[in-house]
Amino acid sequence: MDVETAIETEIGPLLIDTFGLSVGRCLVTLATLSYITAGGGETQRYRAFVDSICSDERVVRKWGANGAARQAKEWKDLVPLEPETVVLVGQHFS
Amino acid sequence: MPSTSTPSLSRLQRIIFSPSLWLVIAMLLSGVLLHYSAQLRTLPVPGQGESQLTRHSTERVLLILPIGYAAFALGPGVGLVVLIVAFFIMLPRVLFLSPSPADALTETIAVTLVGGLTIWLAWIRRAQEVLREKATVRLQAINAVSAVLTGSLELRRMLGEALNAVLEVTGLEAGVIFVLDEKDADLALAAHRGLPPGLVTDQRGLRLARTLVTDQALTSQIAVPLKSKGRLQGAIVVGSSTAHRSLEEETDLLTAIASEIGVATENARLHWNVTRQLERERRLSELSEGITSELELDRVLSKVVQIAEGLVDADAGVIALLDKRRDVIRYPYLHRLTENLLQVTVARGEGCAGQVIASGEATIIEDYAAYPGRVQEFVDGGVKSLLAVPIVTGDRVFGALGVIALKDKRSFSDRDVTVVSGVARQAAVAIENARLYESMRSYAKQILTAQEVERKRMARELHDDTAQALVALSRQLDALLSDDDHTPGSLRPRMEELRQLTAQISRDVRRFSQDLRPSTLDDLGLLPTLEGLCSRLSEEDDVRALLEVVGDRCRLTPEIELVLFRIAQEALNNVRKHSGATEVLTRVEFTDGVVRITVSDNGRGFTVPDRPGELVDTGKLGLTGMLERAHLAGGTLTVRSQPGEGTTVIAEIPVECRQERV
Repeated sequence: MDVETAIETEIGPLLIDTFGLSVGRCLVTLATLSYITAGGGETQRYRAFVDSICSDERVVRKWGANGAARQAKEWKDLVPLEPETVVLVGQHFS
Repeated sequence: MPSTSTPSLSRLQRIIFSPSLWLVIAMLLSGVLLHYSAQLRTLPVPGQGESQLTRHSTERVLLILPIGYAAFALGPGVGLVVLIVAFFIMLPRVLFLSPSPADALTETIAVTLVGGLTIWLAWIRRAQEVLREKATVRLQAINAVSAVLTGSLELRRMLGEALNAVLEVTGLEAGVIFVLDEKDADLALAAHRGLPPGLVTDQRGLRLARTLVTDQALTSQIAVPLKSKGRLQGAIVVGSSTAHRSLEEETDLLTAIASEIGVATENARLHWNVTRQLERERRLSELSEGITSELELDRVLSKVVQIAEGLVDADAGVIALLDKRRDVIRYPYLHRLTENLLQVTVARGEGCAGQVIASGEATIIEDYAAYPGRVQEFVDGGVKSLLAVPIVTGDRVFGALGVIALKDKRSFSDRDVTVVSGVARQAAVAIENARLYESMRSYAKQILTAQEVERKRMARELHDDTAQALVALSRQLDALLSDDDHTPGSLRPRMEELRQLTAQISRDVRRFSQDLRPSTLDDLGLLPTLEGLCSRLSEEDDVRALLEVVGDRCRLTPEIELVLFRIAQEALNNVRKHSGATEVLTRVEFTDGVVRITVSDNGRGFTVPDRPGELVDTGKLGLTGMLERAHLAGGTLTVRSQPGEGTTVIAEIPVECRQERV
């Protein structure tokens, strides 16, 4: 899924459903500011976008720290990392 | 930041053409000549016969001079080069010529170390100078942006100029500034430079913001949030389409500038808020003034809807009123909504208006289509979001005032609720005033109707009974006077007087009956009755009274004819009783939808009070009655007069003709 589709079909609607129109929009707007200032490729910016939402006090209060972290992972998984940012973990090199 | 290659080249040129370099070279050459004079045999050898080592030691120490001088005068780099040169000057003697090579080596190393220390000191001084220069450049850049920021309070203009200044000081080619809207619900593109044409498709929108910052025009970029007092205001992004390595100082500089822009953005926003608050107060004051000066409810409430809508930047507005008689809610005042909604009614307690009326509290519906109490006609009419507040005075709820978003769903702030509630309170006052006024008008109408019925009854009784009785009496007196056989001659003069008196009373009774309610008004209409009035005034009061009719004559409703007759009658009575006029013209004009009666005399005139209320205070009850009658008929009455210049009374009443010609 591309970044815009993820934001407009998954993240935005869920936030508005959960927090109402005004808070939902506010969260997406502040996350967009994080996206703008994050730098890097589109995926890194998207991850900053998701982190901004899931670290927001209102979100954590509503979903709890674990719930917010779970949701962040779920949203991040929607957009695959760009090849140059893939980190290989646990691979043994001879 | 500009490239560093150009300044390095110019610095090298400066060093080459500097006299100091040539002085250093001269010093080094002197060192060479002194140090190797015996081998060169070109110069007289000072201190011949003295210890060779002591003399060469002094020469080595002297070589520190050009090193130190070069390091301080031409820079540490040049000092280092001179140190190397000096080292190689000393080296041949150490290796091949000195009788004490170990001592010579030690001295050479010592001179090299001291020279190096000198260079290090020069390096520190140079680094401090560079820091100072950088700080100055940074301050100049911040000052340049500050100057732009303090030049205006108009946000877009200010940010546009600030972006120009930032691009100039950073040497980058493209940039954008986004600012958060008031409710943190959207980002507005406040300024942009150097982006490809066609990329900027709108002035706001989160998607647009995300698209712009990933464009190739900003391949290399520095992005910094704009903040003021820790609160986010927006973001600035500057960059270039080519690879550019951002230095830490550049980011620091942009952060400092972004902080300035953040504060200026907040100031501009505060200024805008104050301006908007003043505008709101002006409009509320205008509304209050309108409400106190306007008793026509339709006009006031139409205005209320538009003002409420404008104050919160809504797209449309509506007033819902509770129809107690039918126990339903109607929507009689709409703005920018389809007129079909005028026919819509909902049961009391239903819909958003019903809920607001029942609870007496404001309600915000952000997604009207999903609202359980939605009215389908409003959904079909494009209503996306809604703020509704009760229209209430004391414990009486008249209805609800709603402001509506049609384009996109939106939220409404607490301030929006406060503002619209303020307008709704004014609307409640207007409704209360209008209802009181309507009651008063209705009461006054009833009094006048009763008065007219009574007058008509009295006129009929006077005409049918009293006048007929007087006629009969007069006839009997005539009969007695003509009966010569039975009427004594001594009584005849007195009977003649009695007959004349009876005739006079009969005329007075008829006149009084006519004044009370002329039968011609009901039988023949307004114009013949006015003709009769004018004729009688000419005949009985020696005032030249003329009647002029302009336009197509037509019969009016009995109520309107009565109103116009009473106004003309009162005006002509005033002419007769008070004006001392010798001429009076009554002009009746039939124009499109209006009848105008103008009564002008050439009498003594009077000073017209400034306000209608003063007519009662000055005892001009006749004029007050005319004014009331005109208002009750939905018309106007104008009195123009000045002492010594006659009086003109103009009544204008909206009418519908019942038949074309009379």
